[in-house]
Amino acid sequence: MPDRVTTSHLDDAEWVRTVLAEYERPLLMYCAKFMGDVEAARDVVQDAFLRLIGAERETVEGHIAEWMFTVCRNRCLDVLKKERRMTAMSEPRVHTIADSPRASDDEQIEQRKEILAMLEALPERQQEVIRLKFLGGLSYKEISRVTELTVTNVGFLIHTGMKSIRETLGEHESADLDLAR
Amino acid sequence: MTHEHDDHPNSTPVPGSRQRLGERLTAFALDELSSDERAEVDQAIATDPAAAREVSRIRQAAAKIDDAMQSEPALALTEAQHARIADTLRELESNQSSNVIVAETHRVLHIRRIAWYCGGGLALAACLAIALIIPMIANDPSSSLDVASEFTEKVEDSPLLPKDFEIAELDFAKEEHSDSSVAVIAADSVMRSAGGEPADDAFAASASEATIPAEQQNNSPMNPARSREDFTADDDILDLRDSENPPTSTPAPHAGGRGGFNSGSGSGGNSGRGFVGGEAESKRPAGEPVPAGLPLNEQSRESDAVPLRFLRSKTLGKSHTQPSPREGQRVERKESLPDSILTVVPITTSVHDMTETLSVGQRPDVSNVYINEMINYFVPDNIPNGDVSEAMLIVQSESAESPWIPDHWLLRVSVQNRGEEPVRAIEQVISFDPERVAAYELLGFAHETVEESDAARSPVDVEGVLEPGETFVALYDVERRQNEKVPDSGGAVTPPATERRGRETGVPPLLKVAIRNIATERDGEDDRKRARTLVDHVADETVHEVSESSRAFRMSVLAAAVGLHLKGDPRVPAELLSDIRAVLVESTNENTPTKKEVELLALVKQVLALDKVGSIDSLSQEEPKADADDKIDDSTASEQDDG
Repeated sequence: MPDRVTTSHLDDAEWVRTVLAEYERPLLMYCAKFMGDVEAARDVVQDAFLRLIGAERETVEGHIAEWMFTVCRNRCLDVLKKERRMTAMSEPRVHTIADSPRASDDEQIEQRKEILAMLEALPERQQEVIRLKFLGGLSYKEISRVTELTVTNVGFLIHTGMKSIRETLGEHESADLDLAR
Repeated sequence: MTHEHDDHPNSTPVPGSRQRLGERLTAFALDELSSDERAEVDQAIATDPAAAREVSRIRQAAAKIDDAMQSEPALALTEAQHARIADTLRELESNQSSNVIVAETHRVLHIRRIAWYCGGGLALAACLAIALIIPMIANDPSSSLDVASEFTEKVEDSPLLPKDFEIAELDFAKEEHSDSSVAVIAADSVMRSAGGEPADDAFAASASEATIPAEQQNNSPMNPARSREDFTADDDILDLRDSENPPTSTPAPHAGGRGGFNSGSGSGGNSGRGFVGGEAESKRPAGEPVPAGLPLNEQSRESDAVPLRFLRSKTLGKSHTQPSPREGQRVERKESLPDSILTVVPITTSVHDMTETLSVGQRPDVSNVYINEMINYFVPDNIPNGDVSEAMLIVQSESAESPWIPDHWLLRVSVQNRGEEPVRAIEQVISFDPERVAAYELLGFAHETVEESDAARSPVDVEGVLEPGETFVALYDVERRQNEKVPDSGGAVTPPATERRGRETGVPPLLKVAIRNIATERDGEDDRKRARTLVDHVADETVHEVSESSRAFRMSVLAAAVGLHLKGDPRVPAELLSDIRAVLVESTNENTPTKKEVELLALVKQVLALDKVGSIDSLSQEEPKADADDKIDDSTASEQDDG
């Protein structure tokens, strides 16, 4: 991630381009899931990057991932709040299960689909923190600041969500069972 | 680590309940523990195979989840969105290299953003002062520089210097190009918006007395007494479009790279307004002598390697990199408000479809209700009176108390192309004073292209191009700050009046409007975007009831009201819509309504009938009637009512 490597040598514009290259996809995925609307997610992410351009680099650099996801999340909430009041969702929802061009075999494809389907079935909060963790690469602390949850709560949600997914994958011997022997 | 559950005697001392234990191991597997915590878990799993297996499984699951997420279809911003970000970045780079001054080929000294002012009368004075300086520079560069420097020295230490302005230097040796048109046009606009009256501000008075002889003032392009015909070919400041020897210009990003503005018709019509750019202007070969008549030739530009000090706004150039709020988005900041940046966008004609749906007794789907189009479709032609009618681009603003939220204002800003040629690559930047505005919401914006006879077809519009005769309209809901207090001219703090004029009272303007030309210039292998302010406008703050506002404003408000109502916005319930309609019908009855006004009222009538608020008959009795030749066919409504 750009703030985890040395970017201080880059000028401001180049730095923004680096951030864009790194975070465009994860932010879009996150916002698309958050909003259920790809086009709205694009608008949100574009706004976030325009806001980044207008921001003081010193105040953002070093925690760029957290900053970007927070801006996007707040914008998503604003838009959703407004849309709930103003309009009905008209855009097609995001489909989470997709064929992977990198899939090496059917089993792997099926497993990915299974995982994504399970992820989709998780409670929203669990989905969100897991996506922030794996898609955005955020730490528990960063996730807690983005979502305004406690770090403990984040840990609980991630653990619970992952446990559900693992059970779907056939790991019926959960940690509790294993450790209880 | 302590072991808090002892339900299996051989378990490793791991803290907490099973759930807590699991969370701990998950955090460990995901590398979320501190070094101390990690060391403890490391020690624990070294003696507990079950815990070690669990950690391994969590890591495997994490890898699978990560893999699955990476396999999701990649999303990306659209090309247009990438382009906008890239443009903004280029602007950032451009601003870094040159904070304020923008290059423009073969033009006199210019002050790019000086026209953007922040303090009502003070700002007006600043623009006036600049405008007074520039003509002198144009006529006699060397002496004008002296005058300008003298002026700057006089105001530098003056307490009358607006706080948002600073003294800056323009070094001819460093700045390759210049352009007076911006400041002149901007100041011209300010002057015009002030009703042609000279500024009564003490700052302006002292500035003009200190620097400009009376005869020069009278001869200034800023003098409202000068008519359009006075702007002749030898008027260096305003003659910026010499078709025989056009200056080089920067291609605009739209319309196949054609330049920003080209009013086209030589010295006639709007030629005096000085919108530069266009295809013709890029044809002058490099190195060709600068045409005669230009205010400052290359020789003088090169020889005048003397820094010129001038007034510059401290706040310019920072806001437009912020994201512009979208329609329906409420913007609220404590200290600042992002500008609302709008541009002409292609529109579809949903109004006609919506009307048809209503006419058959059905409520249109909320997703098919476009408030922006409604606002603009029903805007009647409102050519302003007075001196502003001569300008090519006319900016008008009007405000009234919101009929649906107390202490809110509705603001309508329109830009009309009164010229004979399209105006290209423009955007409208609306800035609200955060001291006076707590939040604002863009209810809608669009430009009118749909002729009444063409209502059924979708026009083909080009982004950023305002065609001749088109009006670009934006309607805002503005939340005023509670207990808004503004200093009066004597420095005392007084509560706001419900009716006042900012320029007369010294009250900071509620909002400012800038019309900018966005052009892209080639810099080596890179494109650089630059914005050039063409018109600055301060909102007329005469606030009154909607019923007392102009017809165009009333219709915009009614269109917005019915649009919000159809979208289910709780701000405009049916009863309120009915009340708004009744008030506007009453006020419209005094005049012969246009066909569009009648159409809008008919549409509202249909909506209210669907909502069981009044009958078609009772509503129809209240309505004004259009001229016989202009009246729309309302038979459908009658049929429905009969049914």
